[in-house]
Amino acid sequence: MSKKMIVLKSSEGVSFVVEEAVARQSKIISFLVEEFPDRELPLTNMTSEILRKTIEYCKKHVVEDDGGGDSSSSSSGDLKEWDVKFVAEIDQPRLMDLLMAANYLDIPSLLDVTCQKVADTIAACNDEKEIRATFNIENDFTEEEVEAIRMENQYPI
Amino acid sequence: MTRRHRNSLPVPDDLAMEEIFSKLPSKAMARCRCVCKLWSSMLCSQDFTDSFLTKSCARPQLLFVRENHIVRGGEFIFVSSPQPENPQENSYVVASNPLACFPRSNGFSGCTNGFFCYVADRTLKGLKKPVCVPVICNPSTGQSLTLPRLNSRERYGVESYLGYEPIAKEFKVLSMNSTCVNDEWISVEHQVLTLGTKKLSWRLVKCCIPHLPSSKWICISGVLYYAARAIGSLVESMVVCFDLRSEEFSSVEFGKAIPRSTTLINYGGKLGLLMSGDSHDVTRASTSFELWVVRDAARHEWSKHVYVLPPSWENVVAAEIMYIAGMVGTNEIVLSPRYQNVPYYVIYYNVERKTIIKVGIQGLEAFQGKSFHTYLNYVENVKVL
Repeated sequence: MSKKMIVLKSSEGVSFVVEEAVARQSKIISFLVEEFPDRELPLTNMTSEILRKTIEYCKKHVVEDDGGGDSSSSSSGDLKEWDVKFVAEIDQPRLMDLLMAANYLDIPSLLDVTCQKVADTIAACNDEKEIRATFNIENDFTEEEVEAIRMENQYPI
Repeated sequence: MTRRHRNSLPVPDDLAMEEIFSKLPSKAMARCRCVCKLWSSMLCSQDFTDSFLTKSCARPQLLFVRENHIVRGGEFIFVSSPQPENPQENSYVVASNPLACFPRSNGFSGCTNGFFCYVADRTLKGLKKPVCVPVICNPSTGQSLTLPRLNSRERYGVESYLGYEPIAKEFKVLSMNSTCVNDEWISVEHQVLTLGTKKLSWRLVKCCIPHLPSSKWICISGVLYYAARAIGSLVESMVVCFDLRSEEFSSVEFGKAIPRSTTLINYGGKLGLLMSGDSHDVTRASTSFELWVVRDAARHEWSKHVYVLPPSWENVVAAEIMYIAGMVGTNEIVLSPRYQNVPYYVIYYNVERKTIIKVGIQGLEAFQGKSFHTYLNYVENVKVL
């Protein structure tokens, strides 16, 4: 039996042909597929690069239920290891894009791993200045305000 | 990351940011609050801290507190570990999460919703001599909050308890001094402070039960309970109850001396006094435990449970004094050596299955010291006081 395919289109207009079961891990796509069957789905706010990454993740995580039984494509231990490697290989700006893509497309497991990676990155920063630099955040505090927060706490921050 | 405009994807919404923050270790919270105003307001919001607490309550931890004499003036070190579920023979857990350190004080006697309360000597502005002031601290976030000076002339004998009132979602501190009146030591100047209010201040509350408080206490469902001596008594023989909502005192007579080995526990939402069933401390020679649960506080009625120790007890416990750390659920009594041993361990006595299991604690080797205390059911709370 041939698998049903759907077409996703990135912001650059590049089409990606994906198995429906793979794409349906996104709750948004799942909804769109039902509302607009047999239509190309434009994802105008996602670059090809990020869409490709997202699809790569979904392919790995798809649960194959047509081959009999409920076997997923990998064991959960392997899958976890794969996830760690998957996010480790992505640089900071792209990781944020992927996180936002997971958030936008509503893919809970991808959101979970990307958020964990971002949280680990934040936790690894030595001080608030390093966090701002890593995530390109503007400091809108005065030195006194930062000092006030610092004073409440025993940890060196 | 919330200020990037590099491409067209939406910036993470509050929910995504909350998801990231919920995965942060609690010790990184203060650092993140310094990043920018948006992060700070999100991390301090009630919604965020409530959801963090809910997650934390689903995985309570063991918390070890020890005194470190190496540092000048001394300090308390906190280390946490996951609480073992259904511990098995020869199991161990790794206490690999050192939390904050706090300056030495008169000791920590109890924990409420992730916060500790202790009394410290502080030299305040305009005063020559140091005074006793209660301090609230959070070992997970490292936050500590020194409370205002008590409405009192006394310097010694301050007893402070930290309670949580779940209806108004408020933390309240109950403090009192002890003084000698007509040759009897009793508590006076009972006062309450509500945390989270803009200007922290103590207000006196009326107490019509003459008593001398102890450092055995617990907060259950908006009521503070502490063991106390009645006037004219040389032993603790009652539990004073302070309702945090109405701010009224009441008491439950135990009818006899509350033994030294007793620990106050939360037994399915009711107050329980868990003690050695023998007339001495918990040792290898112990034969049973007694649990007294309040049945009817107004009538001073208790229900008694006796848990006879199985023969394996003697083989598991070495020649040392144990203390009752408390109870996990209503089945497991947890005991801990009074002084630290290396390797450190705790004992789980399952009263239903009659099993005695020793759980080794790894990762505390670097923290050798004499006094050591184990707290059960510790939850991380990132609420900012």
